[in-house]
Order: sequence, then structure tokens, then C-alpha cells
Amino acid sequence: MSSVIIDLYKKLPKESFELLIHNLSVREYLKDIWRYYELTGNLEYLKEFDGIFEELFRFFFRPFEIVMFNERVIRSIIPIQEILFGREIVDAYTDFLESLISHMRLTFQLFSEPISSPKLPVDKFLDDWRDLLKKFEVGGGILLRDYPFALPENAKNYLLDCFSYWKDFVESYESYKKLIRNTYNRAVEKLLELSRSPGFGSFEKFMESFQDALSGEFDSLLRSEEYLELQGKLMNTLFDHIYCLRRFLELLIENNPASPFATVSQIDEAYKRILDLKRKVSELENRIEKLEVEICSRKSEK
Amino acid sequence: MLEKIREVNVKPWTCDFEVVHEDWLFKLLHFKGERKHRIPLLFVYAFINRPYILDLHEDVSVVRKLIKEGVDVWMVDWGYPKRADRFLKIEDYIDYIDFCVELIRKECKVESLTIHGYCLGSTLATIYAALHPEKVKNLVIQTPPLNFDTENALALWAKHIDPQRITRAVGNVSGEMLNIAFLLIDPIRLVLGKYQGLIDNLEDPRFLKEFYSMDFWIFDSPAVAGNVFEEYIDRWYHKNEIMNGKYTVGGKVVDLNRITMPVLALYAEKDHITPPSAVLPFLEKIPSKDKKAMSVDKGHIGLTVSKSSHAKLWNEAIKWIVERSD
Repeated sequence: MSSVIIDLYKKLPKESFELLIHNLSVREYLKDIWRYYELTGNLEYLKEFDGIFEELFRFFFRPFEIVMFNERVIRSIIPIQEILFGREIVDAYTDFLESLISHMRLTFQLFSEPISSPKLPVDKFLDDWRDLLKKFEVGGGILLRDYPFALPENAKNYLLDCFSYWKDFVESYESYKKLIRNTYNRAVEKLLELSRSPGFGSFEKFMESFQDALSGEFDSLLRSEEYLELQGKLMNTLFDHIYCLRRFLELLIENNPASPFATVSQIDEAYKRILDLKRKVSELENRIEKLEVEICSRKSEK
Repeated sequence: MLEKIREVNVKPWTCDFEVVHEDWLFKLLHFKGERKHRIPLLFVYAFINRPYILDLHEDVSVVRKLIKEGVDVWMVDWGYPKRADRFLKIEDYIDYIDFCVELIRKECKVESLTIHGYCLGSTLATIYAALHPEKVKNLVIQTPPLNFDTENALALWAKHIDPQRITRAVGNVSGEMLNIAFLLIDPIRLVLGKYQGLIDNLEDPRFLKEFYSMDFWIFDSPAVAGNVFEEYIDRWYHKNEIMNGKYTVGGKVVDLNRITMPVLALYAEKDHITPPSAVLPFLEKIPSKDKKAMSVDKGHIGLTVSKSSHAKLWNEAIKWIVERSD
């Protein structure tokens, strides 16, 4: 069996394969529910309904899973903190920053009384900055934690926006999950009502009733203003988060004179110019062709 | 239980063709067959999914049926856009249609030809016909989205998204994203019902072949170029510019009043992607004196590949085309 499964994983489109194996699990759950119904003549909310939800409704979360997966891949390809930590220039900058802070602290102490005054602005900022990073679970990164002044001009704003969009996304995502789950629960509730009267008669009829109950609830959900608004919010915050994260990473690369890499935005600009040139060439070719036809017809007239 | 799926052999394209032109991404295909009618036919497929749905397997091949009737069949293949194609515009698609039409006119020594659009290819075909009516002898539009102001889930979703925010983040909209979006428009039928039906038929080789011919096609999804996606959502779905007479290509207004050639519209009553309301208002609007609508009680894809459609609708549709091909 296992080699067949692997062969199918290799052979089928990945969505098709995934849908098949999830549906095989769903069928098992449905059979278990049916057996219970046949034995007891009664249907109640069984744990198998949770299993069906987990198997099927992950597709509603798939776009977000893909994005999160991709982000993790990027983080593993570009371990920013580790790369920059070992660099001499960053070490030198650390020394400079520390001496600056120490110098400012001393200067401040000289000119202000009493000595137990509130923290220096730099310290205060660094504390706040670290708190913010902790909030967004960006712990352990030496670059982000200790070198906020080393970030290129716009990078800091992209980074902050990236965190902020992520926070909004997570909030909307929770509401979205709840909405999908409640809709599913309502459909199951309908099915349970049907089981009391008039009942199902056969496994096929039970399956059909289950699908009908789900279709009814999900059809209205997918057109509801609540769903559309939430889906829109999820997409906007997610894509804005991706964009800001990418721009942040790109700016680190673009502003690093030692970087041997071109960024996607720079390559995009080149693609755009090439396409514009292609259009111009094609327009010129058309004009030349028309002129040649015109010249030929004039010649033949003569 | 799953062994029989392993034996399924899916091979799209049943008719022979030659690639007569290639322009980076786009291709022009010419099908081999005996030309019995003067007017050739150019298929303009959508920029979502792949054109071999029209030649999926022998039993349900629209291309094969046309060739059998002696129609000279050509087809545009829009390819698989990559990051380098992100800045393509819909205008580039229209320009390539014009390039193909010019090539076919010269090759076949005709003034005009039949343009047959499929889904979003119908939108492109209609735009082209409005811009160059003199080169379009007949216009066939199959499951066409032309009026985008409809109430189906896809249209509602499209109206609620901001395409610029998507494309600036991801460049092109990947096939994978589109696949999931299309599944979730009708999740219970497409995620649950369809595959539960498959489980009931795992021992039936014929069912498996037909099922997987479709599934391989469904999930063979090219990305949509970023700029094209923006135009598609913003100018078509959000602003319904084609129907409102506001859509322009290269500075020229797409005027539906110029659709005076014979028009055949093929639509599906249960289409959840392009419902009847996406085409019927268009048919009412155009001034063509020779216009006809044919429908089946099927869904978006069923119209093309169901046996019942082939038994009735396609015979009538091809008769309509042939009668106007000399």
C-alpha cells in the first residue's frame, strides 16, 4: 500500500493527490459515524466530525499555509542574524554604538542632576525597540535586537510595517477560523436534526444529506458580507506583510556594497524595460513593413 | 484499492498540430486536417488553465469534431508566464491575436476568419473583434465573461480584493493560488463531493481515465502575469469597463457597437465561474443581426467535456460555424 501511495504522490497533481487522501480519511470517519447511527438509531456530535473538519477545511487555510511555509524557507535561506553577527564591520559598529551610548550617558550625567535621572533617550529607545521585537517574537536576532541604527533608511519602516501587518493578519485569521468552524458546526447540527426525522435509510443517503447540509451553509457563507470582508482583510494584511518583508530584505541587500546579489525588484525593473523595448521594436517593425508596402505600391504605380 | 489509479495514463492533445510561430511566451498552433471550408478558425484560449481542454480525449474533443467537418483549425497557446513576464499587458495578448490573424489571413488567403474564444479567451476575442471587425468573419464565445457585474461567488470575491496589493507582493499570481481559489468557490462539491465520487469508482478504469484527464488539466495552471491580473480584476471585475464602453487597448476604445459580425454564444446554465448573466446582457447590447445563444444544463467545464454536450450542443454549434465558413 505504501509504495502505491508514494507512486501516486509522484504521479498525480499535488492538489489532486492531497484531495484524494483526505477524502479517504473522510470516508473512514463517515463510515464510523454511520456505524454508530446504525447501532444506536441515533446521531450525536461525535469526535469523527472534528476529524472531518480537520481533513477537509485545511484547504480554506492553504493559501496562508503556503505563505507561511515560503516565509520560513526565506528565513532559512537568509539567516540574517547569523550572517551579520560574525562580520567585522558589524562588530566595529557594535563597538562604536556602545562607546557612543557610554559617551552620551557620561555627558548626560555631567550635565544633569540628580544622577538617578530617567534613562537616556537612546537607552529608552533600545528598550522599547527590544520590547517591540519581543512582541513580534523576533527574539535572538542580534541585528534586529541590537542594531536598529544600522538598518538602511527605509528598511526600518518596512520592518515595522511588516510586524504590524502580521499582527493584523493573525487577528483576522483567528476570526476567519472561527467563522469557518461555526459554519461547519451549523451544518453538522442540521445533519443531526435530519437524523432524528426522517432519518437516512442508507449510507449513500446519509452521505448525500451531509453534503447537502454543508453546501447549504457554505454557499451562504461564501457570499456573506462578513466572509467577504474578512477574506479581503486577510489577503490584504498577508500580502502587505509579504511585500514589506521582501522590501526589508531587499533593502538590506541593495544597501550593502559588498552584496553580490541583485534583488527581485531590481530584476523586475530590468524585465519591465526589456518588455517596453520589445513593444517599441515590434511597433517599429510594423511601421517599416507598412512603409515597404507603400513604397512597393508606389513603384508599381510608376 | 488505489492500484488502478497508478495504471491511469493521461495524455492530452489527441490531434496532431504544428507550432507555426513562437514569440517568447506565446505560440500559434496549426492543427493538421483536410481543409474543406474557406474560412479558417482561430481558437483564442483563456490565460488561465491550458487550451488542451478543447482536445482532452477523443470522445470529447471539440478540435477533432471541427477538423472532421473540414474546418481549418488554429489555436493560440499563451504558455506559462514566468517572473520575466510580470509586466505583460492585456494589450500584448490582443497584439498577438492580431499577429496570428494576419499570419492566417496571408497563409489561407482570406480577408477574415472565425475567432472562437474560450472563457477569458472569449473576452480577448470580443475585444479583438470590436477593434478589428473587418478581420473577424464570425465570433464564437464559449462560457464568456463579458459582463463582470454578476453575483456569483467568484465575482463577489474578485470585487473584494485589491489586485495591486497582491501583485506588488508576489509578482505573478501563481497557478497554485488560483487552483485553491477555484476550489474554494464551490468547496463542498469540489473538495468533498467530487472526490467521494472518485472513491466510489476506484475500480472503474474508464471512470478513472476521464476523472484524471480532467484533474490533470484542472491543476495544470499557469500563473497569471501580474499586470494582466491587475487589469483583469480592476478594469473588468471592479469597473466592468468592457460592458460600460470604457475599456481601451492602446488608446483605442473597445466599442461593442462594432460587433456586427455573426455571433454565437455558448453558455452553461450551472456555470459558477461565468454564469448566464455574464453573457446574456452582452448579447442584448451588440448590434449584430445574426446572433445566437446555445446553452446546456451543465457547469463551466461540463459544457466543453461532457458527453451530453457533445451529443447535442457541439453538433449544433459546429453546424452553425460550418454554415458560415464558406
